[in-house]
Amino acid sequence: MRFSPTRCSVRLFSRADRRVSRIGLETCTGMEKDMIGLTGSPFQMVVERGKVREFAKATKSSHPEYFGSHPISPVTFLMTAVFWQDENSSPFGSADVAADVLHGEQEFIFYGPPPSAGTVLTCQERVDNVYERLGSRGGRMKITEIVTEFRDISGNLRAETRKASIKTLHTRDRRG
Amino acid sequence: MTEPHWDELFEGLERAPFTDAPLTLNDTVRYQGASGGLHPIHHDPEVAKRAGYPRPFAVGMRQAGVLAAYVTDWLGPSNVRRFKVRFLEIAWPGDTLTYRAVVAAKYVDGDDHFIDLDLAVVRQTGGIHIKGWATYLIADRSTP
Repeated sequence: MRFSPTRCSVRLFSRADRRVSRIGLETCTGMEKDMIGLTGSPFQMVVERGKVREFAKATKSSHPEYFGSHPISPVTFLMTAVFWQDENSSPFGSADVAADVLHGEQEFIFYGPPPSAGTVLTCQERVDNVYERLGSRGGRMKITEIVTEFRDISGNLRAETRKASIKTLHTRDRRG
Repeated sequence: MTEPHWDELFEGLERAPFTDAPLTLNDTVRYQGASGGLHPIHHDPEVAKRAGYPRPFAVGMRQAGVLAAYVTDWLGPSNVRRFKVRFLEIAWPGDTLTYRAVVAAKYVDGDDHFIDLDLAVVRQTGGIHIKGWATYLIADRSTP
C-alpha cells in the first residue's frame, strides 16, 4: 500500500486561501539557500506504551486503541521525538527556541498505519526549504521548513513530519 | 468503536462539532509534559510578559492533538495517512474552542479508498485558531 499525499480539495475554506503560502515569495539570500539540505545526526526513538497513553490523555482521546496492551501511536505523537534528540540531531547544531520564532505549520505523513508501541525508529532531520514572504501587515518573514524522516529497523520510511517555523524579520507591533 | 463505512461517507458530510470545556493552564501544562515541548512562554507569566504577551498563551500543538483525536476517534487510529495544521489566531486559557471536520473529497487510488477532510478549531469569538487538512484510509467493507 503506497500512499501519495497529493490530492486535496476544500470545503471549509475557499480555494484562494489554500494558495496563501505561495503568495509573496521572495528570493532568499545565498546564505539562507545554503542551509537547504543540511541534515542533523540520525537519532533513535522508541515508541513506548506509557508515553502513548500519556499523550492520548493529554490530547483528550478516548479511543480504546490507545489504552490497550499494544497501542498504535496517536497522530501527532511523533512530536515526542524531542525526548530522544540532542543538539547534534538538529541541522543547525542547536535547538532554535528563540521567542520570536513562531510555529506556523505542522504536517504528519504516514506510509501505512502510525508506528505502534515497541517500534524502534531511526529519525533524521533536514532543512527542506528556506524562503521569505511578506506577512499580512507588510513585514518580511523567514520561513524555515524542517522535515524529519522516521524509518523502522528494516529501513522502511514509516512517517515524515514537516514543521514550518516563522521568524519575523521586520518587527512592527508584536501585540498585533 | 465502529468506524464509518465507505458508503456512509460523502463530500460535504460534517461530523458533529465538538465544543470542549474552557481551556485551562492545566491543559497546557499536561500537554507540555507529555510532548516534551516545555517552552515557559506557555505557562510562566513573567516569561510571557517579557516576550510582549499579556499572559501565557495556549500551545497550538495541544489543540492540534485534540483535533487529531476528534477525527481519529471517528475514523480509526490506524487509518490516518496525512494530517496538517496551520496555526492562526492565538488561543488563551479561558477560551472555549470548537473542533470541526468536513469531508472535502472521496476517492479511490489503486485498491485503496481515501477521504480528505477540512478541519478547523474555532474560538468563541468566531476567530480561527487552527486550520487543518487530513487524509484517512477508509476500509471498503461493501465489497467482498
